[in-house]
Amino acid sequence: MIFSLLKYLGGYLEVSLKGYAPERFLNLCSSHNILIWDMYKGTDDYHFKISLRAFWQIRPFVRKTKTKVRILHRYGLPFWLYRYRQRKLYFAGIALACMLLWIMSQFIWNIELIGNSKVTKDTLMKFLTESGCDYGSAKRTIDCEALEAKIREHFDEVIWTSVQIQGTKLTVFVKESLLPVHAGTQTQENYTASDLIAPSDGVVASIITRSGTPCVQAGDTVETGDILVSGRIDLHDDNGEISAYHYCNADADIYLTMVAPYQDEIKISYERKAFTGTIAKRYSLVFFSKIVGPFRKEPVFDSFDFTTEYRQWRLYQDFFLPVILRVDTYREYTLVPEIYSETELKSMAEEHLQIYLEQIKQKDVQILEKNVIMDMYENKLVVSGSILIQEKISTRQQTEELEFTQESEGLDTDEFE
Amino acid sequence: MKKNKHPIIKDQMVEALELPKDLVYHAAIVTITGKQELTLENYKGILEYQTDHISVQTKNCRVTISGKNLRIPYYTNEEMKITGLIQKILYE
Repeated sequence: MIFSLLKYLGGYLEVSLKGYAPERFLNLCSSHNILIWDMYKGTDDYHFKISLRAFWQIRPFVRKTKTKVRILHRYGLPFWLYRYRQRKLYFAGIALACMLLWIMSQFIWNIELIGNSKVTKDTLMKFLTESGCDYGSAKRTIDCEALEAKIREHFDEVIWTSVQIQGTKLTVFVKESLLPVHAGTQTQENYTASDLIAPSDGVVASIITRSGTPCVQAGDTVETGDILVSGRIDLHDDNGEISAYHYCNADADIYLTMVAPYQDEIKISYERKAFTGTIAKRYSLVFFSKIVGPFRKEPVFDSFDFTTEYRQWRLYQDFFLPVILRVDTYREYTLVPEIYSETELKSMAEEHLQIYLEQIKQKDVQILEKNVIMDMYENKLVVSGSILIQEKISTRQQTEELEFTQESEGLDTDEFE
Repeated sequence: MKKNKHPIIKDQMVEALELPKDLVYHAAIVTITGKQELTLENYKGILEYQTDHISVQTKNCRVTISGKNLRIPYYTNEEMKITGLIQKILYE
């Protein structure tokens, strides 16, 4: 492949060799490192191919071996350029195309995000746009290392990131922390002194206090808004009386056992989408967020599924172009009324419950017990019950700062005097 | 003359030192793929080229390849390739 390209760029000739000692001529060529290829014997001559540069070197060999060389065909770029030398606009067009290609390669036309799950794609894209790194941004304006630092700084969940530019594609690799970021510890800085309170009713399963005064102990029943750990620490004097208050941000690991209600309802009758098999497609082009087309009218269907697919054009692997083909697909369907069987309903209800349990498990919540009953009615299945969960939970609120009573203040001043 | 006097010693040396034989004996290397393709290395030059036979002079013998429709896809100082229907290879 590469050799044929080099041969084409240098230009080569197909020649016919006739005369007294053609074999000697061939040996002279090979001993002078002149490449000859595609050789075959004609009726009374030899045909072979030789590069244009080598052709100028074989003159003395021709004389020495008393042979005659005749050019049959000319191939390659030098001859092609010579043939079309009059077509100036044609060459200008090629130059312009190359220039456009080069200019296009100086911008970002595709952004890929890899590894993000907690930080959504939209959030990250919005942040990138705000940081001046969007579709169509010049590559030289983007400082990958600075952008990496910015992403790490802005998103607490992100513990490692790497930004790469390959071709016209920007790739952002993100690694997120597996430890959940708790709301309670996060907003600690906003308060001078704060309490931890119960965000919902429940029973305290365990409490480990790091700072503040614990107001409850394991096994206590608490209601919404009850103070679990107070940010006020009472300082007692030798008489056992309160001499002063010390305020701090309460900090504790509190596990609450709570009852979460669960309710689900599935109707027995439903409408099934029966696809008729009629599919209509509409194409349009998107340049720089401007849409050209679609070139066809919208199909007349009563009900249809509609999907849009964007396919970005690219020259080669990572060389993306700012042209996106938009394909709108319309799939016609008719609604057919159907009825679920009881087993189908039950398995669906079971599935819904499992999804719900998975969801709460993902929030670092432990499920202790589930108590769910399925009731079959005439036209629906009702699932109701409660799930006993244990969760590390607490909300923060400003500590109410108490004023000292006259008596205690007087005692304090006496002591100091 | 000395070379021819002690061919056994030379053979043993080559075996013991695992020297490449093509270099020591100036031997031609002929690689044949099926009936259609043949590559030849370590030769001096072409003696004769016709469609039905090609004679090549190597360092210590002459190799004649007979067949039909013989062509030479490339021919360099080190290596040549012959294609066509190969029928006979003769060492003279």
